Amino acid sequence: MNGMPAPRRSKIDPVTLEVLRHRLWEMNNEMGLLAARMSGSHIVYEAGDFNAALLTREGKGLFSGAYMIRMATTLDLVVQSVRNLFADDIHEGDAFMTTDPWHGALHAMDAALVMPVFSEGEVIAWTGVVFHEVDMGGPRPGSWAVGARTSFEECPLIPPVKIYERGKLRADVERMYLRNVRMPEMNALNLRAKFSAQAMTAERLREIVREVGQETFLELQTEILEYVRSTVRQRLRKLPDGTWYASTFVEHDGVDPRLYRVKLAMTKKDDRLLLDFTGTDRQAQGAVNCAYSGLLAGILQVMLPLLCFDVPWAHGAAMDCFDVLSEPSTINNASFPAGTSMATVNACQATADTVWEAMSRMLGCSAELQQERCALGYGQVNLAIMNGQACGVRFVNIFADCGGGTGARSYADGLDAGGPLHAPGFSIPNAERTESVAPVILLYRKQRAGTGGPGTYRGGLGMEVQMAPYGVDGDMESVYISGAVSHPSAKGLSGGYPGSVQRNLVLRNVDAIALLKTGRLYESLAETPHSGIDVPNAKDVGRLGPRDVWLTYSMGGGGYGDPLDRALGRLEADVRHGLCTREEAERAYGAVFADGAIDPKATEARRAARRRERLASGKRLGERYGEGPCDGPVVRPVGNVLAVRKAGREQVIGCVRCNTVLCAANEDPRLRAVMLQTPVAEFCELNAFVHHRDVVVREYACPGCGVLFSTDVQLESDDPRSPEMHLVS
Amino acid sequence: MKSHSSATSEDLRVAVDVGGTFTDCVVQRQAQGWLYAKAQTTPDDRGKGVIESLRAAAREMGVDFADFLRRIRVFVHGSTVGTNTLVERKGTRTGLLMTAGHEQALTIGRARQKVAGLNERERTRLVHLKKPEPPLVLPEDICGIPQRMDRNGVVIRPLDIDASMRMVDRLVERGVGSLAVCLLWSFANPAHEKLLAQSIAERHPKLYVSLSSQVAPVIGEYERCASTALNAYVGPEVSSYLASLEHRLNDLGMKAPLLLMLGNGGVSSIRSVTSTPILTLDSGPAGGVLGAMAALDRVGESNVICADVGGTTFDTGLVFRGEIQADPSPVIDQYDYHLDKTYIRSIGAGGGSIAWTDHLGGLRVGPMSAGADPGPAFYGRGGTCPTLADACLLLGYLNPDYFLGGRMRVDTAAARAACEPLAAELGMSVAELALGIVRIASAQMADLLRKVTIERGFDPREFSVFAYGGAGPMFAGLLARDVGAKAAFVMPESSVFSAAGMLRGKIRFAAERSLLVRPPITQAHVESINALYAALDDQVRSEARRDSYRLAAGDIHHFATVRFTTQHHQLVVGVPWRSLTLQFVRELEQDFISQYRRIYGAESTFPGAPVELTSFRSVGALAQEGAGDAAPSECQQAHDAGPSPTEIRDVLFPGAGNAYRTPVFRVKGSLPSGMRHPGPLIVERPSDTVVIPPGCRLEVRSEGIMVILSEDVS
Repeated sequence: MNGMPAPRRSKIDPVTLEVLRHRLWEMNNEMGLLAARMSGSHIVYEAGDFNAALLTREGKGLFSGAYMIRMATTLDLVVQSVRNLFADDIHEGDAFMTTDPWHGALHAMDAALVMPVFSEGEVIAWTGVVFHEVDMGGPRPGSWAVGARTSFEECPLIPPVKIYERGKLRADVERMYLRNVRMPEMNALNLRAKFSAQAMTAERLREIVREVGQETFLELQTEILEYVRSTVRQRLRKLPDGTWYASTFVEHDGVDPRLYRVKLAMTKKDDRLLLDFTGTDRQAQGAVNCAYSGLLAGILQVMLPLLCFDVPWAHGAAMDCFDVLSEPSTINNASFPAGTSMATVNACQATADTVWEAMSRMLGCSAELQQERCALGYGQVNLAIMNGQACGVRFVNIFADCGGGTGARSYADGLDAGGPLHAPGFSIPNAERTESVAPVILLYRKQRAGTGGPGTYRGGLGMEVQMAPYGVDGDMESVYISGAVSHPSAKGLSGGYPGSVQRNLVLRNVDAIALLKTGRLYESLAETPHSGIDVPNAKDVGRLGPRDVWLTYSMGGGGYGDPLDRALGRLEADVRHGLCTREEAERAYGAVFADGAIDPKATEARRAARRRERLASGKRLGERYGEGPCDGPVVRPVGNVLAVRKAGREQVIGCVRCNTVLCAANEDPRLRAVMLQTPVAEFCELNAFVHHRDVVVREYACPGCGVLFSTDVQLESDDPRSPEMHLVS
Repeated sequence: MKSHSSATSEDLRVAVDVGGTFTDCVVQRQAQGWLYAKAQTTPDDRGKGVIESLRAAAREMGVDFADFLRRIRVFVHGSTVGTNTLVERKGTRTGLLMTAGHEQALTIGRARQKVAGLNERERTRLVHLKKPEPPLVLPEDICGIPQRMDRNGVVIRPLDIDASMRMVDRLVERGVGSLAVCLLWSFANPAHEKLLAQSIAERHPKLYVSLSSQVAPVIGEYERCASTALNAYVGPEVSSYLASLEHRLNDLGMKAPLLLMLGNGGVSSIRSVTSTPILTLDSGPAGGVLGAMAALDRVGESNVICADVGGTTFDTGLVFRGEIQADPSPVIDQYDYHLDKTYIRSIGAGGGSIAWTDHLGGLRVGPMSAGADPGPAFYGRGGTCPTLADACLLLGYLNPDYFLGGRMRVDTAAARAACEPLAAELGMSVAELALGIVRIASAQMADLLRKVTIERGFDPREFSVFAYGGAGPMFAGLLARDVGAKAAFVMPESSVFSAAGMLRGKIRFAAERSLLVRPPITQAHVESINALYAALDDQVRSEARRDSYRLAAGDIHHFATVRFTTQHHQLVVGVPWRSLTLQFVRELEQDFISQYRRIYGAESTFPGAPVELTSFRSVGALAQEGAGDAAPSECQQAHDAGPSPTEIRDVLFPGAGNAYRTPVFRVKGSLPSGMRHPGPLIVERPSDTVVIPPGCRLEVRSEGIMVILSEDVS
């Protein structure tokens, strides 16, 4: 048992516990799958934008499904809200719907339906299913209210309503709901799907109660929560106490193209976390805010995969392991009537990105958990909603045909075209599917070199797509929803570089179909002939003419470790497969080519020279620490090249390559690092179109040998000494 | 129907099923009933094991081997060569020709490839997800073909055949031995794929070529491409295996042509399997489902859950109202593909599943397995991990002196020694641990049984369990009780169940094509559907003709894939009319809606939600010659063992406190029909052990069929 505490004594024997735990887990997954399969929309079934949860009788999350993770994690808030609002008026067969972020929903389109499960007149559990509905009404098709300034300019919010009463659908309530949406059949089928799946699950839960008795069933809920809580707490106890910092941006609120900052200081003490978001920007005037529900979901969508990777995703238990500090009326804890229709992919995802970054840095301080982290990947979205007319028939489609890459691991590259990790079931539609539902031709779709962040292990590549209208009657109206178009949000880890930004571009008058007819297909921006490029902003509306082309690329994942340490074999394979351009190999990886192949010796020399250059041209952020090198024993790793080491009676953070001491063990290693700074726009060719020119990539190198141990994306005006971590020694 | 010289009493029908550990052979004789034999599977040269199993059968029959082979009239073969070739990546280096601009469809894998086919526990380890490694087709072996069509199959960019052939030449120079061709919209217009195939055949006649318009002519380029690439990758291997096997058997004197078991529950000739070898994926488990289907009449059931417990995996399938269930979205090795295939679900649970403790000291079982080598600790081949089979031994289910009929020595001390450290760690006795292992493993199997039924809208209480495979009969009673099934059946042929099922498979020819028919459905639509069916029927008939079969009108059945217009999920509905009319289309829609409601509940549909048809399929099916004859009832040595136990031993069961004094019956054939006995009891047979737990009872029906019933079910 490697020094772990003795197993808990529980009231249920361990075999029964394992048997029922497995059965409930399967049951929850099946509930989600069943509901999704019945769903009326391909966003749910094909793209995987849904989730389901099983909750205790008090409404604490026992199991969240492995679909869009964040969606299940706030069902606890929904159930709490229902219990408060309906108190004694909750009966067998009732089901409650809400789309209100101040009642636990994430944004208006993530419509939640929760149901109490009764056995012999008593509530014994709750279930919940959430789908992303294609449209919930409001000013714009798809309900992403670009341009809205308050909640009142978005689609109407629905606080919890009893839409099924004792097993019967309330037609009056449904009529009011469907009156406000653009595709009522779809929403109606979805509502039935959510209800039917939960009704079937309720019956199965009652079967278990009949089998093991109510007392054991309720005890089981306690046991599962306790099991997951102990797992998380054990993991936390193994980590050193300290604080880890992270920050990111929300770009463009739909009205104002500005950058909003989300800031996190995450402190771990013993077996508890404190997530302090103080310093995060005030809520935005546009629709990118999230309510507290989104803040909580942002935390949990990271905590489940990073700390509960081998136990059931009992988010109710995970929630018991941390405290949150957040100022009200900030962008990720907004107050009504803030606009929230774009919450999930903006403030909520940005919150998750900061938690992911801080937690990955924390896990980097444990030899055992090092492998359980990875750099940030594709998170903030990049999509377009277009509508128009073809042969007299109107159409509207959400084009989510382009996905990003995942972050690099400590032992392997990220996944090329891996999609968002927070929605593992996400998939892009087949080109044939897209072309069958919309009058377009997908000219090409490919993994785009340069999108993934370079590193010892590089980030997975994002995709690039060009799409041309085909047989349309006129212009297509477009709504663009993206984040991270001026700042790479897929930041690197332990010295890896960030991935690229993502972008939508409109190339005017390409006439791609005419070119194709003559046998010509241009598979890059550089080659494609056009009369001009329009660069839509992160949130924007525009028109796509019949002869125009929409070009979109999504961010790749962040890299891990100093790119100058990348193995030449991997680099060469990437160049050969077009996953890394020669230009990038030279610029980011220090490769020297001879006769078309990488010259190992020359490359080694170039890399050594690069490290020396860093030391010569970089800015030294602080005085050299102490009296000289330290080759004392390693107490714990700090990322991949630094470590806490013993130096006599003292402990210091030093470089394991050159034994240079960076700082005392309780100081931030950036404090005395060598720092290099590059504007994001110049960092890689794909970043050429950024709107905000004051965003920079900062590299932090060991002052002894020049190896990178940290990178960051900040504003030029930010203090480069803003810390990454403080261990408590 | 194919013409044959008249059957004689000498004729044999034979099926051979190659499994992971054993190669099973079943022989159906005209007069003397059925006979079974087994041989070790020989992974390096599977044909050897096949021939060995045939030799064993001839020995069992007491006839000369050459004579035995000469008398074989029908020979059905099931093998895992396709699956193994793929999973072990021993296939032919495959090149892929894809529409330029979309070359990476297979590599991108719709971004979902990283989780396809993984169970929830694997999925939740997000940081460690990966794509198939190595990929089926190396990135450098993928070429973008200059051509493009639109959704109606209208050519936008003409095919540049010269440029394409230059790419193919380069692939061949690099050592590519098989080609998959998948062009966008080729199911709507296969002209470009056919042109490529022609030119390739002229320049490189030996190259194996797979066209997506033939392998999977349905919408969705990723799944279509994966199907085609899988087919190309395993094609040469499967073809050469089959050709060499046929050659060897012919040399030895067998005259019957080979029929191959398919994953869709049919059988087919070498010729058609050679062009579409992926049809053989999962054919072993499909044989089991077929066996269950064939046994329905003998047991008077129409709904069956198949429970095949092997050494490392637990395979399940379903028969509902006498019909095999199709798998709408099969996955292999993280590739989603499209194929007409029986619904099979598997988990890593079997006799070799290893017990271990998690980080919090909880007991877990599987999915890691000790496999066949070293196998369970009691094999004495150096295995030190406690396995499910070890637990079964220590609980008294398995008889150490009669394992595999006494053919294999059992080291009980090794099983105990393997369990002791784990038991100590958990603070349990060895017996408690063994009970825990059995409970957890059988609960996982039961969870899968619930999943396969409930996921498809079935209630497991309306089903019976058919238990087979090496360890199936040991868990039959426990599983049936656990899921509340009506009964568990252990058939006399259960140890060779899949092979026996193969003799029941219909000779099958199928053709399918996507055609989107959206509402409002008009007379013009109906006519185009009828025209499509006519074309598909022609295709099916001409396929049959190539194998010298003639299909009558009644041998061809039509199916349509239907869904709500706003939905992605679709159901396959039978089309019972020879020619469609608008009225029939309405009825078809109603069939779809009622099937949908049955699966998802009466509340699941929205009145007036429009319905569309997406794909059409013709299936021609012919019974194998002699397949209607006697069921595999009459085993050799059928009359056996009187109703008195050979032994009483102490056995522990889940949910019971103390050991039971349990009577044990040892039989070589079967117990006398009409015998009834309350549980607990154990029946030892030469190749397996049937366990009837307390609270259940055994009834022996005619033909030696064993039924295990829960005592509270009367």
